[in-house]
Amino acid sequence: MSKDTVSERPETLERAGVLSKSQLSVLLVFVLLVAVSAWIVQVDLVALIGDQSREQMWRFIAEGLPPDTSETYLLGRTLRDGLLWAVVETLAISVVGTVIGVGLAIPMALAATAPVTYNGPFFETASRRRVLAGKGLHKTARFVLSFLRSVPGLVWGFLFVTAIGLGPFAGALALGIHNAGVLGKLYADFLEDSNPVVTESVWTTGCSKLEAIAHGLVPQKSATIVSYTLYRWECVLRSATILGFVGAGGIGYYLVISIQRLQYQKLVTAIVAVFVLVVLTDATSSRLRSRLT
Amino acid sequence: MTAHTLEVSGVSKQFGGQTVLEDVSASIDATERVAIIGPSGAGKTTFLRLIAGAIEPDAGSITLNGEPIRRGEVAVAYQGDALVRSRTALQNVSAGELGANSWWEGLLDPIFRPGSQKAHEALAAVGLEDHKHERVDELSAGERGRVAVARALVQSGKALLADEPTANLDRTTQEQVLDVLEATAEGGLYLVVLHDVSIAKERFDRILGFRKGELRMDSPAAAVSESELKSLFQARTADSGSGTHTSAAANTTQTPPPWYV
Repeated sequence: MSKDTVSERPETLERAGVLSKSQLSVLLVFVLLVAVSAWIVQVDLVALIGDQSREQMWRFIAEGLPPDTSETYLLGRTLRDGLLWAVVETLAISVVGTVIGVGLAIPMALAATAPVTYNGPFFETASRRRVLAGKGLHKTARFVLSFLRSVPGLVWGFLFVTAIGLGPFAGALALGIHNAGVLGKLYADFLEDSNPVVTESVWTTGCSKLEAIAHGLVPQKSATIVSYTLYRWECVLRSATILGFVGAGGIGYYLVISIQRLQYQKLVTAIVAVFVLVVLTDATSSRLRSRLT
Repeated sequence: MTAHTLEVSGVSKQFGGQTVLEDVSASIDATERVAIIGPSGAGKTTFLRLIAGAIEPDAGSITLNGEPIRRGEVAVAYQGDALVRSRTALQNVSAGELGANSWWEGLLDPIFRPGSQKAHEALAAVGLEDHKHERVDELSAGERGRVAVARALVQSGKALLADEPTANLDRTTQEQVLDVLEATAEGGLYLVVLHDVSIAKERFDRILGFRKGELRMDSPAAAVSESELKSLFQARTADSGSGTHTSAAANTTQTPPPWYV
């Protein structure tokens, strides 16, 4: 083998598709991770395609068709009754929940944004004490946001149902509180990624800090903020469809009751309703996003 | 603008422990048009930001008519990339008036009274009246620079500062922009950072030359010689080639504050 051949070997191997040591290590770790996870969740493909499961699935489909489209099921006996009202209620929960989330997220996000609390143009001439106080506020706000989003919406729903009773308001509050944590973190991260020179150029006009934030800092990221808020609205809607599981209103109540009573025709109708609602919301959100950003 | 005097005495500034400006002193009055020149990272913009009151010196003082300078007292035309790109030219220019209004007007005006007469006139003065409703990110680099100038025009300052207002502009537009700035300064305090030395010599009365954070040149524009300019700019090139000594020197003058990008 000539010297040239030896020196070209790694390149040749790469071309031939052989992985490097580090790539191989990453692949092995990944495979191991998947294998351990599959063992923990007791993956059983045989059970999935076995006779019994096929029979159950077929039974569900056979018993679920045709879907229940009776007037009593769809419209109910009163205005606030029936599947269609539950669909409207789910949509309303998502809207109110998102508004609550945004309303709580904005002040907390500002407190959790370093350029607003302790770092950047506003603090070039600030005292050390003021900067330390700002850092404390920043850390506290970040901690609160982490806590709010670490508790799942369903758990918040259970807590609010316990506190204020069954109904959609408990659901809207639950999703609002959870999403305040999500949106607050997102807003704060976006604002921290802004260009401080832009903020400074507004700040040097002699305006107040609030004005510099409103006209220099926030507008730099307003398109991203709007876009992600709309995306979270889609997520909130999907979460709102299962809040009925804990009595917090919406179409989830119909889903859980149909499952518990083995009323598959009603269940299929409810699933189709959720699907249509989610598709329509996604389409609306996309249109709004393209118009507003 | 009326006559004012700016006194810069022994000003030093560090960012992250590294010196960006060192012991800079200059006395500037309203009878002079002052150009600030120097290689990149020489401290020109930091000098401008100190005068604008955006930052405070670590040592020394800056006074305007004998009083410490305050944020909002002078109008500043930042470079074009300091604009809010998702907003229109008119909205960006209107932001220049924020300091003159109450905070609640500042928050509500963009919604209820977008664009004052002054803002429209400023945009017309820089030749952008046809682009006032266009978003800044749809404008060219030169047009963005002119929007930044228009924003400084609407500020009610005792001095007018501009950071490379002629960057990315053709010669004719450069002249137009400088005409507008000069007319706005109206014989008041007028300081401009320039990258084009020929413009500095032609249109300004006095030149301040910075290098490595120090004020190396302070001369009447007419008296500045080619050899002085060469030493101001070319010495940096020579420094750059001299190994470890240069990197330390360059570090002392080119490090911005951690958040300043």
